[in-house]
Amino acid sequence: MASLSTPPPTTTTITTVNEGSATSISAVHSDILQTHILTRLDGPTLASAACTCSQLNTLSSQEALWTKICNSMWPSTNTPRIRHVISTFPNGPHSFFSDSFPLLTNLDHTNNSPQSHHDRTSELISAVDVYYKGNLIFSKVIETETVTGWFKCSPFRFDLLDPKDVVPTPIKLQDDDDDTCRDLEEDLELSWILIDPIGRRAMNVSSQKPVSVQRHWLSGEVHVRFATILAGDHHRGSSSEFVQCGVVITCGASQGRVVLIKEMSLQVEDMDGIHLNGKESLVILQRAMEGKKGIKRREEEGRKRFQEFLERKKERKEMKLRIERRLDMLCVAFGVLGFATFWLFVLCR
Amino acid sequence: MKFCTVKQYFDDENNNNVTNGIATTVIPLPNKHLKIKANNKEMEQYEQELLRNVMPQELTKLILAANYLNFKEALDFFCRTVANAIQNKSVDYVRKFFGLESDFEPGEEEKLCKEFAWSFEGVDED
Repeated sequence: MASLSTPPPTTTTITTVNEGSATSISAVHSDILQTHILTRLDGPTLASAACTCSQLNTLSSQEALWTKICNSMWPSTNTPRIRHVISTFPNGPHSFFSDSFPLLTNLDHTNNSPQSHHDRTSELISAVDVYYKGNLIFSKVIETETVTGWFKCSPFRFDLLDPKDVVPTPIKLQDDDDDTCRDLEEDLELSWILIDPIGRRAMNVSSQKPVSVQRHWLSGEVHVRFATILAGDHHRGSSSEFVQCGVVITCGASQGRVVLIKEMSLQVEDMDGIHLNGKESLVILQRAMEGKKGIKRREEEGRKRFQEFLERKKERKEMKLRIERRLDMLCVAFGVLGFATFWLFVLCR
Repeated sequence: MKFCTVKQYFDDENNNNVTNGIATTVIPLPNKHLKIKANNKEMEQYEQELLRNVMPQELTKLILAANYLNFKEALDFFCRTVANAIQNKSVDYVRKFFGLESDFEPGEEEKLCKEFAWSFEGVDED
């Protein structure tokens, strides 16, 4: 057991593990470890440190560390309501970070318990943060109830801004429109965390970086889309086998040649482009919250999955066209046959 | 006063905490700090140069020395370096770096790995 014989003032030292002649980190005070080293680590690295040995596990489980990481990564979580909800989570901010940091990977349909089991929450809290070049430019929290008939039957849509609101940003408009779009695609980031306060789970439905940036041909507004693909209905071949949970930011231009955010909304659409209603969306979202999470590098994976979703959409559309064409041919053939039979009948009389 | 502990160190003959090698690394730091205080970039370069020759395991000794000598800036610097060194590295690398051994129960470690499976993906190569 290593111990210091002289100042600085000591608190508890943790047991040394002897590794030949090298001094193990255990000889360092837990105070120093905590205040100087662990506070400097980001989430994934702190999680790795927690898995090394039981002493570091105890030190790394301190709520203050994880709260600091959550607040610095997602400033919108630093509000009284969300702080309170996070404190009710099974492992506090630690499990909140585990829920919200990774990209969702729930693309398997095995977790299909009866629907009524999955829509038991009465509200969803959305914590949204928008960043440009690594700096926070906008942050907002909204709470949406999910029990009324209005929510369940109408198309699922969370709007962050009121219709007349606009949010100015520090993003400068480039002379060339394509350059502005490229700028937004590379440097704009968004995090949209959905929190279920009753089920005490959370998930991040954004792909962090945009999966597509398109300029509307008529209005000239730029639509920046962040999307995650989730498993929907378990019926193979159905239009909601996979659904796209997408956040669209609509950007316009101000007089001072600066980008303005006019609209920010979250919607869920299936492979036929139809927006699901509140009840169906809630079931899918809750199932995803309870499913497993994975993938740290969300940006590339997010874009890849979105492209695969678009491929599936296209294949589905082509398949539908083929079926329709076959049906048409069948109808034409049937018509011609009927016509020929009629005339044969008439002539043979 | 930065050097009251240093005086004590020199007076204290039987000192287990700070070997000579470590002392020669840590003690010149304040002078250098004063000389190039205004220029952060130069200080950074000096610090990088210093650390290029230091083994990761030596960093622990440096931290202990800086802590014993009550030298805040050096402690800060060494801890910062340790944090950067283990950023985005695998659990085994962090264990090796800190000279630790896993003392979890068999089921416990598996449970942790399962819970944090996402944090083990995409780590840098050791």
